[in-house]
Amino acid sequence: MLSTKMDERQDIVLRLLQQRDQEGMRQLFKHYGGALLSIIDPVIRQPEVSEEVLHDVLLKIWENIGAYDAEKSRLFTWMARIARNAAIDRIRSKSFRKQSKTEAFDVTVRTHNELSQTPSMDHIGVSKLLTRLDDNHRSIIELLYLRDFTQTEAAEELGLPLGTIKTRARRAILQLRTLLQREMVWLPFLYLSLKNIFGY
Amino acid sequence: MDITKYIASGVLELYVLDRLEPAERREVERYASEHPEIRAEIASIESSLEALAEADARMPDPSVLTRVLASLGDAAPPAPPTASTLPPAAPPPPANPLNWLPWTVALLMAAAALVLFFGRQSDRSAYDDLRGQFDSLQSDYERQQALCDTTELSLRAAELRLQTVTNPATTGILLAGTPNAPNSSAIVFYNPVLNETFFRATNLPPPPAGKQYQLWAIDASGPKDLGVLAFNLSNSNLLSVPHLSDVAAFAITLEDVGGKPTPDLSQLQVIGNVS
Repeated sequence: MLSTKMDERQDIVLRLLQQRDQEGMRQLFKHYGGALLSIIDPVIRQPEVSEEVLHDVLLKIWENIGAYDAEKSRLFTWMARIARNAAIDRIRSKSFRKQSKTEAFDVTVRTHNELSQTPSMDHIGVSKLLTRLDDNHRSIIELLYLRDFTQTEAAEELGLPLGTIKTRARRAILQLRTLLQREMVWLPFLYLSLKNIFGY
Repeated sequence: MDITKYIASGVLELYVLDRLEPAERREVERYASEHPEIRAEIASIESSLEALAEADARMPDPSVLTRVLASLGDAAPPAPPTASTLPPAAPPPPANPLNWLPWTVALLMAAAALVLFFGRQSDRSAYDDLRGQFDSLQSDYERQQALCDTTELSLRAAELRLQTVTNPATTGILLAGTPNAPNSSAIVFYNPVLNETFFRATNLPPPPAGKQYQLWAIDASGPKDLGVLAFNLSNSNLLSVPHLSDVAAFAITLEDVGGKPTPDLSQLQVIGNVS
């Protein structure tokens, strides 16, 4: 149910963007702006700067929509990659480092320990949904998806053999899927029961 | 290749997370184009991460959109005519010193006319742009308005039905299945004060071919026809049906298509008494 809604939205936004219709930008902002911020926020961790990055990302999507290949990935996967790369470029930039010199998130000198020691949910922009995953699963998604860790770095960080990173990632995403499915099943169910009770 | 094993290895997750070396990535892409199961699994991983991002979405400040649209607006309209497209510069002034004045005046006037002309052109195109935007906003607004009106109407109707159904004088009469159709059921909301009757088929299977359900109100003088039920009547629709006073019971029979003036009681499906 939800995935058809996601597909429908993807098709509309994609079509408008390909037609270079400014309405496409409005729809892109409306339907994906928040989700893209959820990719940018964990990297940047300063809401206003995140929104500047989002601004650049939206323009980049607009300009490069011709390069999107629907055979290879969903629209959001492609956009999320642009967003994450833009966020990473931003924190590597000199101006950002100067601006946040007191902060400890410089990727080039990562302070990895905070992840395992303090639950990261108190940081800006770290997923609420992720906090409901098992610790092991949560940290692998955080490192690989919401941060800029390679497989090797993630293995070091988590003290795992390199070979288990893939299977760990799979188990994490399977758990995430179950979690999402449970939420997706509930909402339509609630809607249907209300509909039944009131008869319209 | 063992596809199940390949999927279980987690390599597809790392592919979607963009954490594979180029060679491994190309391999995944090749397998995905050869095996629909792998393609489907990738799509499903992508959807999960998309749903995760959506669950965590933080709505950006609307000013971000305004700024983005403004920079699109700068780039979008076709470039206005530039100096290079203007007619070539004036011919050199004639040698006769007495003649240069009228020429210069004429040239200046021509230049002024050109400036005015192109100035007006660009005003005109700005106006056309704004006009276009205005028209499209206007038609958007009208569409939304019409949608709102329809929604409001159906909401009002729903509210009225809800008011009647929850009115203290309303009795809910459960029409229970007869031996002909033990699992069928329906409900009637009967309000003798407001003179309103509502009907809902809570569980009526689709009628057999050539047959149609007919609703009856039974009073002291016998059954009265309240109409036949549409074939595609949804079990969740609350219908307003003709109101009769002093009804003792409601019933549904299965009749030939179009209904009958009097019921065939051997085809009784559900019945319920007004208490």
